[in-house]
Order: sequence, then C-alpha cells, then structure tokens
Amino acid sequence: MSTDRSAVVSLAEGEKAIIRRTWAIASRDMAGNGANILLKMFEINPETKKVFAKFRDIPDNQLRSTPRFRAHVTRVMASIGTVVSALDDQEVLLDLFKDIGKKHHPPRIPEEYFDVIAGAILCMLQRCLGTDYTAEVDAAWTKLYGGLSRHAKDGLKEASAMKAP
Amino acid sequence: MGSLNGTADDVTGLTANQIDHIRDSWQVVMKNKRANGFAIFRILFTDYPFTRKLFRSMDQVDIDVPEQFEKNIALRAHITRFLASFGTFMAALDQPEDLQQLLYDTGKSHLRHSVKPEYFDALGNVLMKGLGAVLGADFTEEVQGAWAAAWGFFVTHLKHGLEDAIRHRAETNGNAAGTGE
Repeated sequence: MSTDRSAVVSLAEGEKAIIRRTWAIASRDMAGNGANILLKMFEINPETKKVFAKFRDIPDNQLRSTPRFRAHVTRVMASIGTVVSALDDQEVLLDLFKDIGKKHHPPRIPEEYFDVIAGAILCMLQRCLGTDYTAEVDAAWTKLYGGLSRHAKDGLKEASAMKAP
Repeated sequence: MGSLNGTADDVTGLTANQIDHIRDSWQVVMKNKRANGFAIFRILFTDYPFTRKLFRSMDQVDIDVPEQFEKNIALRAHITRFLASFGTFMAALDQPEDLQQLLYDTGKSHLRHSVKPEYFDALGNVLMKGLGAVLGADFTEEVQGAWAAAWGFFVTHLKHGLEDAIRHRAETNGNAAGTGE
C-alpha cells in the first residue's frame, strides 16, 4: 500500500488529455457502454455476476433492456466519469477511489473482481475507439485504473473492517 | 425544440418542452461546475445547518470564508459525484423507467452516510434557490415549473430508495450478503 500522498496516481498532462478525449467518446452512450463493461466482465469470469442480487438470475441477453441493470451500469460509468472530471485534484481522486471501494461493501466482493473489471473497461474502450485505441490510450487508462483499484481495495478493506452502523 | 402537443409523460409528468427547459438550464449550471456546485451546497449548509454534520470535518469550516469551504476534501468529492449523478438524471429525463431506477439507486446509496429521507426535501428548496441564483432572469416561471415538476418526481424515488434501504437494513440487521446497490 502506497503511503506516498503526493501522488495518488501520477499522470502526465498528455495522459490526462488522452483520458479526457477518449472518455468524451465513451460517455456518449452511458447505458450501452456500461452494459458492455459488465457483460464482458461476466464473460471473463461468470462468478462475478453472482454478487449482483438484483439481476444475477436474469439471462445475459436480457440484461441490456432490464432497468435495474441499465441503472447500475449507468452509475458505474458515472463513477468513472467523476474520476475523469477530477484528474487535476489528487485529494479528491483519493476520496473518489476509496469511495468506490467502500460502496462495494456490503455485499462482500472479492477484491480480485476489481482486477477482472479492469480488463472489461479496457475492452469497452477498444470497442468504442477502434483504431484510435492506441498503445498510448492503453497506457494512460491502465495507469489511471491501477491507481483507482489500489485505493478502492483499501476502501473496501476499511468498509469490511467497520461494523454496520 | 420541444414537442408541439406538450403531452405530459404518464410516469414522470414531464412534457418534452419541460425536459428541454431543464436540460438547457442544467447546461448553464455545468458551465461553471465547480463554482455552482459549491454555491448549491453553501445554500444547503446555510439554510439547513444540520446537514453539515453529514460531511467529514464540515463543522470545523467557516462557510463564510470561501477558501475554507472549498478546501474540504470530502465536500469537494461529494460535489463531483453529485454533479455526475445529476447528469445521469438529466440524460434520462425522457426515459422514465431508467430515470426512476437511477433515482431509486441514488437514494439507496445514501444509507451509509446517515442521511434521512426527509433531507432530500431540503435539497429541493436549495436547488430552486441555487438555480435562481445561477440563471437569474432566465429562471422564468416556465423553467421554474419544469424544475418543480421534475423535482417532485426525483424526490419521490430518491426517498423511496433510501426508505427501502433503511427498512432492509433493519430487517436483516445489517448482515445481508448480496444486497448490492
């Protein structure tokens, strides 16, 4: 666990610009691209679907038209969007990252699932951007997500350690 | 733009015209996200001081000193999330089922922050006052009416989500697994 508070995630200006530009494209379709993330995650590891009490019993091919799923994936996209809007504010980023972790308890989510969704997010971006998904785009998002998941896992641990209010 | 027939949606009660008014005025708010986000919350903390305790270290902040207010990290982060959340509502104004679910889930997510359902009523007054301050003369009766109609719908489902979450926690004593958000 990093104790270096001066850099929650250190992104160069060029990397921030890439993230903002590519997110502007992905966020045009919050429900659709959000669905792509989760459906890809379920494909990579079907166990991950089981933590979603709200829609684990609904077949994958019906999820895109299910309001509870659509709302959830919209909110997943929105939380990535808040991170993108705060790239210049390290203190807020830390709060956002940890909050993402805390939001996932309850239920008890294995912290490895944050790693599974990483691949799904990059897949979604590849799908959105096509040939514009360059090595630079991959590197910038991988760096951002690395910071996010590190601190989200801390947030998840903290929330798990606390008793219910 | 806007529909010529002005039929109100069965579920939300909003006409296409009202949706346009709301989205247009929200665009104005978003032009100065940071400043306007803070303005809304300053009104909340001024008019409803009990809400300050919901945010870490807010009680130590003198809200009349602008820099202090804006230094509070928990608040800055929440404003960022609030604006993003609101943005999802704005996008879904013409999709009643999606909108309802988004509001419900957002309400539910306030369970772990010790928010009471009635606090959302306070936010309605704050929003109208904040919009008035930001839009000035552009906050016409028509625009106000549109926001009032939308807020009526929003607050119903925000509270519903939070009430259900509170009830569920009481019933399961906070030990439920797989409840998710």
